Amino acid sequence: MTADSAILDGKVAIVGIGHTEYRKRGELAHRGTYSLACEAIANACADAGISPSSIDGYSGYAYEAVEPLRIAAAFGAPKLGYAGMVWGGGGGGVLGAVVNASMALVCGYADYVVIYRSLTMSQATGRFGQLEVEKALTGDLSEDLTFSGPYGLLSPAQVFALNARRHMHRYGTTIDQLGEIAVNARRMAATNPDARFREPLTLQQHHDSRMIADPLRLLDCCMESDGAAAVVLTRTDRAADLAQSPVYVRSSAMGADFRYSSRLSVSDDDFASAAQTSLAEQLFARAAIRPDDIDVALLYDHFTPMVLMSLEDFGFCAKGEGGPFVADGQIGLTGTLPLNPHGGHLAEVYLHGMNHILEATRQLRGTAVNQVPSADLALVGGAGGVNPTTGCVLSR
Amino acid sequence: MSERNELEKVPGLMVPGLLPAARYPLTAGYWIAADEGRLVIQRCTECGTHRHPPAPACYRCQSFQWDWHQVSGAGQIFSYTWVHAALTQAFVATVPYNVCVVELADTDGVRIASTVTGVNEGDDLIGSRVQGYFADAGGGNKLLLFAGA
Ligand SMILES: [Zn+2]
Repeated sequence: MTADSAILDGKVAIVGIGHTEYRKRGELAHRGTYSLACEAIANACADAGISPSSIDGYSGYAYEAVEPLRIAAAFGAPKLGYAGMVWGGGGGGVLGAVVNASMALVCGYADYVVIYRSLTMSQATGRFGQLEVEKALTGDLSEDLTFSGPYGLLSPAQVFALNARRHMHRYGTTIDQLGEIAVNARRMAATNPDARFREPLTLQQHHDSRMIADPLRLLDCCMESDGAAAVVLTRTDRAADLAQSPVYVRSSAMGADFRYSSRLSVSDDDFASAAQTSLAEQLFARAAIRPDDIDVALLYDHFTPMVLMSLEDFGFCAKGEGGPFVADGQIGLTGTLPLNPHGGHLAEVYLHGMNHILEATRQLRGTAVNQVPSADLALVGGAGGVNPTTGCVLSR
Repeated sequence: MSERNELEKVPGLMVPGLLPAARYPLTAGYWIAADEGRLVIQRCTECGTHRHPPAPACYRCQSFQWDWHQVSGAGQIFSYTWVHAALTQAFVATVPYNVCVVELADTDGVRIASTVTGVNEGDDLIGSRVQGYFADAGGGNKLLLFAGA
């Protein structure tokens, strides 16, 4: 272990993945988040070759509504050793759940930890942003939102549009370059039977889609979805005996680049970014790798400009070069950095980053529909532009 | 700073639910000053650093001592968006509307969100010099807006 590596790194593996069907927002509301969560977890346990009653740890993020005790009750799990939650950050916190799960496992509090996300977008906490809107309508604005709410600055799309505009101003980033990320997602999803959006997309269609918050058009935004997904983690000493080839957590980290008094007052460099540079430093240093060692990247694509800025923050291209990087085809399946081969949030399903962990696992097992040849190392990045933002490096 | 009462297409105006009804201990001073047509920004009395939104301690020197410092309202647009998809009924009548990030002069780089009046979608707004003013926002509340300086 190098001085930089954390005690957890390399000690934990993903051994099971599972999910439900993926549908349009509201279409699975009749089933409810509880049932969907249990189905995804049962599938992940079946994949791992363990009983869901073996789960004794639960690691959540973004205020997951289905509480661990209900899962344990459904499966008759006799022991609950760990239940923890990543605070704030929405989908930025998704890989923080891997950090917490790893701590619980390595420290011996639990043997099998599940991370899960279950969404039917009509239920509480399902719609990021919507909650604040509802508060605004009743005058119940949070302290900081009293300064932005009255101007109609309430949703994530509106906020990230400000970061995108600044990036365009500083670096000449274009609408077409943002569109390339949406086009890439659809191209990938075309062969993914689980994906919600499999029809190809042209740059013109992207350009013509309706404006949400300039420069963000509808096709720059992920589409709210219903569904659930789960991953099971265990210590590497147990992983060898299970049904699947383990996928190792080489490093996992939580971070943020917002070091000043507010997200609007950060440095110009941080404003035109996904706020992931300090996260990237931690992840790569502790895994003792460099960005160009990564074979496949699963970056949180809530909005196309945030993906472009994530690519820069993680060092896959220079600061300000994200636009040309995506326009040159570097993020395609045969590019230097295949990005979101499942179609990502933009085309497969928007499950707050969970489907990205599942895809990274499939890529490293060699079982993905759009398999990157001999993928050894995958980067999974949580939502950029939020605090905390999190990530992990996985290896086979 | 002069106060203007203009019937402008400004989001949130006349919509009580979207006004800063919740006046928290840390932020009340801002809104009390706003009602008097004065723009104040929290300032550390130990090192003089401005900060916004209000926070209990200074991010530079960690002091808890602060006061409200009246500033001119002069600023420059740092970034902006034009919102086309209204999220709530309150904003349906006002789309498209702009939300600008304005960097305030003489505040250690404090940036605030607001709406700039008298500009058109398609204008290149970044770098434009603007001046803050308070508009009547209904219910006796005043809201800080900006216009070209
Ligand atoms: Zn100070």
